[in-house]
Amino acid sequence: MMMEKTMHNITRVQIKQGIGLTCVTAERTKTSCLSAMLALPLGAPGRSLAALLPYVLRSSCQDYRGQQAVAACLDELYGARLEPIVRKCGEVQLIGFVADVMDERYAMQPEERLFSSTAQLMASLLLHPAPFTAETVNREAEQLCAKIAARTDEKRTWAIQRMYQYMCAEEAYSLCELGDIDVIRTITPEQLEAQYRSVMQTAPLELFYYGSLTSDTVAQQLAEAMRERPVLEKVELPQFDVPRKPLHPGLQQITEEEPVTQGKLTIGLRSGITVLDVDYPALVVFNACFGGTASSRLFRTVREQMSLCYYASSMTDKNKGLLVVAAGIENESEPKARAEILRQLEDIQAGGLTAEEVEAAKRSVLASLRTTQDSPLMLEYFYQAQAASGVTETLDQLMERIEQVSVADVTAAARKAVPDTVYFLKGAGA
Amino acid sequence: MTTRSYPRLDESIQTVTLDNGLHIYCIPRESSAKTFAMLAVNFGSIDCNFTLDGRTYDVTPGIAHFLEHKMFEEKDGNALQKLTALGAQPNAFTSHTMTAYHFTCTSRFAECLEILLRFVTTPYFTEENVAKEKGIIEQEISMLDDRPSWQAYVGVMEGLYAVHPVRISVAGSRQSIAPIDPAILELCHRGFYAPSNLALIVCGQYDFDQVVDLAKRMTPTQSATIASRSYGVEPEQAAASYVEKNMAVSRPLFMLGCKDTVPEQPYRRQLIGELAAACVCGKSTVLYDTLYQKGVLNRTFEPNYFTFSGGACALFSGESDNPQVVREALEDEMRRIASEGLADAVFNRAKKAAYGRYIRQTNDPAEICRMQAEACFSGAQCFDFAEILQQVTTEQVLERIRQWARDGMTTLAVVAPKKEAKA
Repeated sequence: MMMEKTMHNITRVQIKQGIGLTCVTAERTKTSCLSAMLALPLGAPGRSLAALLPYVLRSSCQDYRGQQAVAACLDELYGARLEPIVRKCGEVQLIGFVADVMDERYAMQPEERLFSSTAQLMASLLLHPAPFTAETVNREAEQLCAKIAARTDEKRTWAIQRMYQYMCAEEAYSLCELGDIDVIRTITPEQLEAQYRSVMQTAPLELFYYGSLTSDTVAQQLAEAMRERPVLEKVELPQFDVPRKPLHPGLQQITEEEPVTQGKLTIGLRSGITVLDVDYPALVVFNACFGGTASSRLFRTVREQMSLCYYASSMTDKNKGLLVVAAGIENESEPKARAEILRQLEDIQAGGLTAEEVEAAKRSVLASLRTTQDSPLMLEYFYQAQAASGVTETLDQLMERIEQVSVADVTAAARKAVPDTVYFLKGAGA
Repeated sequence: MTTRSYPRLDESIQTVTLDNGLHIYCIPRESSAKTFAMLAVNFGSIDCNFTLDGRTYDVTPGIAHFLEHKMFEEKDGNALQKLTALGAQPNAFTSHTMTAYHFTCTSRFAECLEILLRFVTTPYFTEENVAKEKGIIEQEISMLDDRPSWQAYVGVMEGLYAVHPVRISVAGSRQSIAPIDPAILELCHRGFYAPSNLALIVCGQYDFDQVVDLAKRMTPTQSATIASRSYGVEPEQAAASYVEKNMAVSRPLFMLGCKDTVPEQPYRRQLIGELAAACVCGKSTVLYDTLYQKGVLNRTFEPNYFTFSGGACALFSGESDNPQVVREALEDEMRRIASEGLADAVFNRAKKAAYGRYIRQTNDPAEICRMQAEACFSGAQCFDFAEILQQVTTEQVLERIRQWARDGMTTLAVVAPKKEAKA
């Protein structure tokens, strides 16, 4: 076992070839969190099969027959949660499980081993499947299809996904990490078992732990729990492109109608800056100045000054180098809101940010990253996304880099943010 | 100052009440990177009818939420921006039962706390800034109109309650907020934002004396008093058995509400109600498993319980192609348990799971403050759950389920896909 200590209480451990572990040891925590994620290329032909796997695995375990056995076990572990997860990180599809469980110090009987039992349960689900039955596969396939179809229900998030479908039409990023309904409906138990074997033999497995146990103890318990996972011959993270410029001439503009009350305006931008780049911290600060906080340009102008919306904010995708601006508005406000959003961007690109704005944005980014340190599930998400890009930078190291960001850095990062696609989901009345 | 310790939970609460009636609760967290502070107001969207200075008022729905939006504005700028400029993360929320303003910070705590105490206790309303806020809140209401899960919740409350203002959405409607003006906002602020109706809750790293000194200095010395609040006379049974809304959704969302009696001890009742709902159809029950195997329910299903002044109800929510089948199954199960009783294994498992869930929630300072705000407005403390859960009996849980199983107690609210127009 190779160990490589990073700052504070964060340890990277390679349990064996193909199994990595990020271990965050926190002193006075009441909960611990464990996740196991397999990384696959989002553009691979087995995407739909892979997406169905964690759901079927949770219901077809040799050691716990059926969902009720798993649920009863979780209740006995003081209401621990263990959920199947399918995530998109850039163009990597992550599939696996996330669990969180009360720290054993608070158990009613002191001898209870809550973490190791949770780890065992997760390992069982991952490594000890019973033969997949048509009944289970069909039921979980139907549930997954319903989940895919339901993506359109929440229009605020749907408008963003829809925008990316247009903006990244030529890239794997536009694909749905949950798979395609047409494919999922045809999946047979045999196909799924073949996919399971293939994933187990090729995909790197990344574990994350947060809790009060030391990294040595955790590494040892997880090595034991995962001992049946074969050693991979070679470990390769899925690779993907990060285009730095729009792939089509000019600003792409699309309007679609849906029977809803409010119009949802979204603007997609390409920065080409990812978590792997030196100017990534500057991009994070730029996003905070632009639309990431309640002091940002978009909040102050589009909401507070112009009174056009309740929300107008921007977010980045750190793995793919993209930004998105989203606002919920009256249909007729669309030209005004869009013009103001683009005007604020141009002003920032022209060097319009003041030193105070940048300092306030940095403080706000740093505060939000420090807050992440207290939240097991947010840390889980952060470190799994880091691992999916092959980055080992810790939160502390990222914060140090953010402290160094200057106004000029932010302006330079802003200049790389090129508007690519404007997507307006027009409200056709509910 | 009094300190109450909870050694089994590794927790303590320091408490003091100032001469002006302001309640202060501080929960130390030496190892936490952040400090969370919340100024909670015992004023929710349901508090529309009240008596102040001998006069009874009936104010327009959505007023508490409107007030929350307006408080951030100060004469010399916006408190939201002042707090973010200090590196804090401020926010606020209004629910049916309370309004709360809060921030998280990792440094400059005293400066942030001073801003929080000042802006919440200092009204600054002008015709212009009130009119401007209507535009923003109208867009928030439109956003909620488009959110299916919220519409299912509003639907079930409309169906369960004939009179109680809990049947109205927290933000009100475009129509109900239209008449809001500075005078009505000032009235509500004077009555409900009086120090004795507030709770200041801090969790993290702080100096207790400094918190108390700041609170003394920043809050008014005198307190107005809301003499009474009225929620109307609510019938015992549900007002409507079925409520349906049509929206642009892919499959039906539902919420089954079971009307319960008005709780005398709301904090205790909340815990008992949650246990009872989990015993009827938690994820580890035979009923959930059966419905899951049949594909009638999916993993989005959640049993829940909600207490508020003047009422309480169990809420079962989820997605299903056939909500009626879910309703029948849940009602059959409640009737079965009401007559046959509850297996010890089911009860004990639910109890253990609830205990763990509450412990997990107390990991987060933000959650602790929210829990304490709810608890203190119900006459309890946020760590009381551990002791109460130990004491709860099967009989107390059964009592709830028997109440829900009586005739006419339930409402099924369904958000159904819009029907295709047929020629």
